[in-house]
Amino acid sequence: MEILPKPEWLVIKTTSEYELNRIQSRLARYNLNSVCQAAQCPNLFECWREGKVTIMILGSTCTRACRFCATSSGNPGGKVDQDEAARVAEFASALGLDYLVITSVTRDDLKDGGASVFAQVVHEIKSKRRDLKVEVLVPDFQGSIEALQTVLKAGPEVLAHNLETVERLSGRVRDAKASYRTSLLVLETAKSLDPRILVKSGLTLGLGETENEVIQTMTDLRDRGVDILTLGQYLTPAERCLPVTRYITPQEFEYLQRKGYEMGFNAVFAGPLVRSSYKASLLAQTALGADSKIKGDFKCY
Amino acid sequence: MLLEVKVPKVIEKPGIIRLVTWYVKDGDAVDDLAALCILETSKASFEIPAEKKGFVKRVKKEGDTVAVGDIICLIADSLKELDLSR
Repeated sequence: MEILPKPEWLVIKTTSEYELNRIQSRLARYNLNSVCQAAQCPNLFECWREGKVTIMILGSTCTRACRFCATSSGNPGGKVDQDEAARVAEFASALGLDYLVITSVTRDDLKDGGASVFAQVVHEIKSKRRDLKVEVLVPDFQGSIEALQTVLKAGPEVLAHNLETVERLSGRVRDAKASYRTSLLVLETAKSLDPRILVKSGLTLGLGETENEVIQTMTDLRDRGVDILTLGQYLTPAERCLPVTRYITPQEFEYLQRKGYEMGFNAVFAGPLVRSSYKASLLAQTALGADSKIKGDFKCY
Repeated sequence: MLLEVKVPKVIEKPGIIRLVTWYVKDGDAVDDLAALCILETSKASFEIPAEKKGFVKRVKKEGDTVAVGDIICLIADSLKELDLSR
């Protein structure tokens, strides 16, 4: 397997660990997982320094084994940490956050896919801090409308579900239980169940897709009512995962970002190091038109 | 005071970490936050900064495989202190 040398725009500036302690020590104190660490996010240093973190609930073992992801896969056997929701709310309060992204591993072993736990987390957060905005980045719940309803009723401001890749590559990149069409259905259903909610999705590029396929996928997302789109470079997180087929240049990302705005997305963020939850608060504000100056003016790396 | 610059703990579950580039040589003077070297994992390349102003002594060399918590280099307040650390 050929490993491509990394381009200069993928060098990440780290920071002293002391500056990261505020997040790290509290994650440990409240016994919570962050996707920042589980996914080895390259933006961890920047986000944690700014006090931004994405919490991963429902444990650290995923019932799926997507080939782009480093999260451990297995069968958690229906186990759920009953106190986790309260601890997430306490964590958010302790850090004084004004926006929090909650995601999870996929839990096909649970009857509702973990939807009720997502709802519980949102309820707990809102009961402590009404003004704290919550983005839930959910799995596909195997296309269950009931599960989506459960999450939406809790009142998150943003519902995100990542399509990850183009239709042709979906079967190779994602677990066999995931599908392009199911993911589109999840996004479309979320928007139709609650038209006021912001619906968000993300693609990872550099897995062998063509530009035309990316444009078609963006069109599919927009047609389903998706408001916010993120596009980032795939980076191989572990040796067992798929190799990078190509590094997309910052200029190509700029082009896709412009294209996304032309298609009518309310907020688009495209760049080599853009990840689904990166600058999530800013993207939501942009989508709501709260800061029109930001719209279309994100800098690529 | 001699400062040990280590592979950051937050680079969790990285698989193999390799020191690919040094920006500084033994005895070089560096400013606080100056780039010292690049560590590469399968996912990304991380530029490691100096956590204080001082003089550098490299502990690892280019091409070395390193682990989380390993000392990469030392930063001393003076060349004399650096000399004493040898």
